[in-house]
Amino acid sequence: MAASDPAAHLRDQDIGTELAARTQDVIRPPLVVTAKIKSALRIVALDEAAASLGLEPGQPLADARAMAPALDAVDEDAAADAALLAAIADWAERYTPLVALDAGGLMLDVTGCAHLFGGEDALVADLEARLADQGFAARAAIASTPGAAAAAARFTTRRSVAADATPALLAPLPLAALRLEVETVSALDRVGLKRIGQVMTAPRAPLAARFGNGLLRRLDQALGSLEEPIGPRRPVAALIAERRFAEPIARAEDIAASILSLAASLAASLEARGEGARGYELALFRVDGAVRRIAVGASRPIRAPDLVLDLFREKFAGLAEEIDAGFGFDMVRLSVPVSAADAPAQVDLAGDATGESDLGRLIDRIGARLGAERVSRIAAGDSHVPERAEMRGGGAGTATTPWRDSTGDGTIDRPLRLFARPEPVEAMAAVPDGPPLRFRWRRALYQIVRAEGPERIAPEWWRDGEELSRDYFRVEDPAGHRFWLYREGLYGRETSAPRWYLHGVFG
Amino acid sequence: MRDSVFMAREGFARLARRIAEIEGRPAFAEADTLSADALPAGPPAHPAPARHLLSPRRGGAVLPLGVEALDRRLGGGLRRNALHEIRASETRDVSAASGFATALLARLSACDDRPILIIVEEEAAREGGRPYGPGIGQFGLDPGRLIVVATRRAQESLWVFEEGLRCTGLTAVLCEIRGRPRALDLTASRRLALRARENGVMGLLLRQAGGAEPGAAATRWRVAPRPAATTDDFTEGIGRPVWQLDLERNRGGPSGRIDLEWDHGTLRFTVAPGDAAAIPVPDAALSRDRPDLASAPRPIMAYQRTG
Repeated sequence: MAASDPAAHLRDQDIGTELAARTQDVIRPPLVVTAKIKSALRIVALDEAAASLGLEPGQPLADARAMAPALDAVDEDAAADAALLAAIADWAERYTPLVALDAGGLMLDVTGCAHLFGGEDALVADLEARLADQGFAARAAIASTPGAAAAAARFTTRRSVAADATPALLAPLPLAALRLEVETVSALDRVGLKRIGQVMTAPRAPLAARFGNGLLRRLDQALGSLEEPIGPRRPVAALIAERRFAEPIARAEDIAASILSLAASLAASLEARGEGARGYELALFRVDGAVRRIAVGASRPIRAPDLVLDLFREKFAGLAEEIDAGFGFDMVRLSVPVSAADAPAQVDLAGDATGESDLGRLIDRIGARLGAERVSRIAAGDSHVPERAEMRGGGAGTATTPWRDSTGDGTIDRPLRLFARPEPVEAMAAVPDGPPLRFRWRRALYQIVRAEGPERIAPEWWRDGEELSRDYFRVEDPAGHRFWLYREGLYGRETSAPRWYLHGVFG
Repeated sequence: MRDSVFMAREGFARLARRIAEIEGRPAFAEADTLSADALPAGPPAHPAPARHLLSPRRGGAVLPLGVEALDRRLGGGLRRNALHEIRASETRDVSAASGFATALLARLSACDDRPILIIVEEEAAREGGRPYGPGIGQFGLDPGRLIVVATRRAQESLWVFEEGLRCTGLTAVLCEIRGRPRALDLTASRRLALRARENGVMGLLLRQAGGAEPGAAATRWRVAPRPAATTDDFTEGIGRPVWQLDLERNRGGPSGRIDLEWDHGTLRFTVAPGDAAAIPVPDAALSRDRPDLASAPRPIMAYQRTG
């Protein structure tokens, strides 16, 4: 990260107590959250009332109870804490798509975003105010490096730190502000190094020799002489369009209208790049902080706004649960995660479009409503084992391997319909390898008047779990039903009691 | 005088055509029945519009089965812009019904190169097997032309069916429905028929274990297998597929019954050899535009073998 890049650090003060306070019906301060650390129940988070009594994190619960008998203690729920932080991170994407989790807080890369909110101070104020509205006590700060932002948020009351003020900001802070290991901090403490300023002026080589590279790396990162990348939670989309509403929207028509207008502005960008989108993602930011994401895919690059809206309509119709608008959405974001080069539609000589675009649209709509994996093409598989002789390719838009000449004088030796799992039948047949004489399938008895076979299909030995050879017979009963039966295992060589299966039916 | 009579006849014919158009029936079937046996048999030629020569192959407005007597009854063949129902009364007959549907699609795809949508419900695939590419290919229909949609419920199938019938990029849509789902009522059936009529996409409704229920389909066929007739020729395998086709409902003409054999090599239907003797066909006047309720077979006419 360049020194001029602002990074906002948002620290959720004691997310654990917040969650506990929200889930407790009756709140009786002081409240602490405890977890078992080093074979004792210790405080991991505490609220303001508890802090004012002199309690602190890391203290054993027994000691705390001695100091404040009317203490309310709840167990830590790490999974719920993480889920809540993730939800806040989702919400924070309203400021920037680059949001990373950072040791109990969040790190936002707001490079080039602050002016949208009226400057850095205004952005931090807006963020803190919105979190406070939701009931969170949060501290946030913007600085030119992630390290400085984290230090400012956790150890100062500053909201924004200019790039040239960073050394002055860091110098008086304790070394823990550099996000160092606990052991390193205590080792530094033992030699009398307590403030960041002391380390900044000390000779580097002995420090590196004694405390490892971590200390200097962290220091350089905080000062901006070493770049520190943040790890965003979600990949950044190629194109993003968003719209904020002063008055939250909730009606389906309003959402549809905003999808249309956002898709139109994305279409212009896509067209300029000569590309189309292979998918869209819609993010609906609810007033109360909840974020709903809905993604649709397209079998071919698209960009026409009405097509995009069509896909989302199908997706909404196929969703298991309704979208809960609550008190409305105050921001809608439409992004294109993947784009691809878009070739102009093929038009034939008579000027009559081949209907291909219409078909692509149909496939996308079916995919959006039922799930793309439910639409497939049948491709030829390179195997003589019947169930592997065809492959169901996803992506109906793609061309498939050509089938060998389908018409001709060849016999019909493969069934029209195949059972996904061969159905066991009781069959009577002459040993060792005669055709079946009669068989019972689904409780009905079928006499066989004509049979052809066997066609022996050996197992593919190079595959694991392949078991026995199969002898396939094509048989017909007096009424004209035609079946494809096989005997599993060669009599005497592979098995002493071969079993029979019905694998398919002929037309 | 002679002139005016000719004009009057011309005007009448135009009116008949118009009525047929409104009713969604082929006009020549009307003429066929009106003039009884006076007119020469055989469907009138359908001159393809000139633009079909330039644009990709689309075929004509009807799909002839290639069996003259049957095509006459259907008014030239199965109408492309209509819904046709093919049913198997028992699950074990599904293979035959599916074979007949595949044969129809094979004939259709020979004159139209757009893809075909196949909708298979999970339960239908479990009970009757799923369409199998290599087998379909041997039957004469290129599996590469198929787009298969797997659905969970009848409602989903019907939705995809209707959407498919609206799509001009398709030749036909085949939808397999099992049993008698409540979603497939007369209204749903009418909607499907209307969609097929609007866009000229042929709709085939394959009903597994379905009853003879009222519907808006232009034709309804009950299919049952017949023992293969051609067996001694070894290259033919266990014999060519033969079906007993019961044309239970025919909006454009009388219903009837016939045994057809499918030649997958030449994509042709022929009257099954054993069937030439006597084909029971209900009285034409009685069953016109009505389901075939006559259970007692009455021999009225015999089909000539044309293959």
